[in-house]
Amino acid sequence: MKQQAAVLGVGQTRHRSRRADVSIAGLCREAVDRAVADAGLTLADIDAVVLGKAPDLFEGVMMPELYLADALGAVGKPLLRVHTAGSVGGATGNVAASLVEAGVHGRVLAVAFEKQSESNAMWALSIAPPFSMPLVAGAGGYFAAHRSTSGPWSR
Amino acid sequence: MTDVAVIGFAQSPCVRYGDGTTSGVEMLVPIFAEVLASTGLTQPDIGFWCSGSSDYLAGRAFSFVSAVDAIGAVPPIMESHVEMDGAWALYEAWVKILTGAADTALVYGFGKSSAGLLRRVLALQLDPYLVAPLWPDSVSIAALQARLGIEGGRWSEKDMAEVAARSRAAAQGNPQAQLFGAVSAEDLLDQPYVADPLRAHDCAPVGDGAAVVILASAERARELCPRPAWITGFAHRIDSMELGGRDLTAAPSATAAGRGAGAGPDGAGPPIDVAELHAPFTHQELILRTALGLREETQVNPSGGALCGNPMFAAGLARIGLAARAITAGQADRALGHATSGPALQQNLVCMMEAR
Repeated sequence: MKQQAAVLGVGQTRHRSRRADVSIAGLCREAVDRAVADAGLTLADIDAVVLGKAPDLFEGVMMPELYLADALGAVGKPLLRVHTAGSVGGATGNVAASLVEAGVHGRVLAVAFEKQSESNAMWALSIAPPFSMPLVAGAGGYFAAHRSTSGPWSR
Repeated sequence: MTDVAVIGFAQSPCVRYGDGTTSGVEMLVPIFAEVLASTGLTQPDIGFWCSGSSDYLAGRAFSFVSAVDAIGAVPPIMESHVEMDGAWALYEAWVKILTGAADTALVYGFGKSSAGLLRRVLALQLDPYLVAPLWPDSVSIAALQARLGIEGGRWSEKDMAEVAARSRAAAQGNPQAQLFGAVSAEDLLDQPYVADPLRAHDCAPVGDGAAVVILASAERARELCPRPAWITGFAHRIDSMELGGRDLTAAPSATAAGRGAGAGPDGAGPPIDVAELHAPFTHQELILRTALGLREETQVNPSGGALCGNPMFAAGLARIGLAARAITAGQADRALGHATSGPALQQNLVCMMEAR
């Protein structure tokens, strides 16, 4: 029988096209500090951290949770990195909640971010892997194909 | 809390240049068939699927999505993915079964390192503002760690060569190993440096491979497996990445993970018969033996370890699978599987298993 999990606090940064005033770590920490304060906790009260983000190419950092361990207050704690493509924000909440529901941890910090101004999201979504049809340029390229001919979304 | 056990394991051969694509599908399909056949399960019987892999290794965004083709996800399946070694996907699946949301889980990890220059790719894990622009590659960072240990009197180049010689001898019994054979530490020490003080034998070979593990709840495990490897403890921890901010000759996150999983410390508790350690460099096995407090009687890396085959994002999961297999095959009563990630043993995971 699983335990119930509850949201204790939330924090969010203002979404802007560019946050040149902070690093990736600074951006995440801004949201973390707000969530922890909203919950009336400190980082010392957190048992584990789950970081969601997808894909790594949006910032140009491979597995950024490794570099972010300090900023997320995760040093010495468990840190899981979720990557489920476009569903990653929700999946991060799922994984964090399941850690509580399973009785593994009491308080879990779930963090999801994108800082697309660090790299080039259009480029990140335009790489044609070998043996695949090179039909895309950015996210628009994927979705344009759905409405180009006789599909259910065609005009 | 329900008990969870490992009931199946399969691994592809580790090869320098695999002939499949970076999607992993060609490596995964045969080992899915093998592990499902070994348990008598079929695709629709699996309650939860979870994988570990890397976009940077594959050289494209959302690469794990292509790997789902190996499953045949029609009708839709419950699935998740970590951008980590499959050992952490196993952790997520273990949690999922503990919640009662699934009673079986199939977990896989795969990596095709031959698609790029691995030591350069891994440099992109570093602090993107202050460290990565200098491109210190993964072998060079490990060499700094090895040098600190040598100068601190913790180990010698001869100790490191002996780890390599013992690993390659052990791997002669492992059909999936990439490197194996009888070599002497003295002969290895005659070889040139790759990154002083590391020689080629000190570094895990670069190669392609995949691994898969099936987990089951207590009830299902007893039905499906004559001798399940029961998970008695499962924990992971991370240290700071700041290379100048911690003692690189120790791995506090490995010690904490070991204690969290009930492995020690320092020889406490019942004996561990087999430990499969994910040490991609010879000196890292020496660090991990100390960090985990392993006793002399524990057999370390009977498979040859990562030094004889280190498929990225699968090698840690394979360590747990091999440790579990020692139990399911009746060769061990208590076994430890370990995985690592990040530069210089930054992140560590320990899974303790036993026979009942």
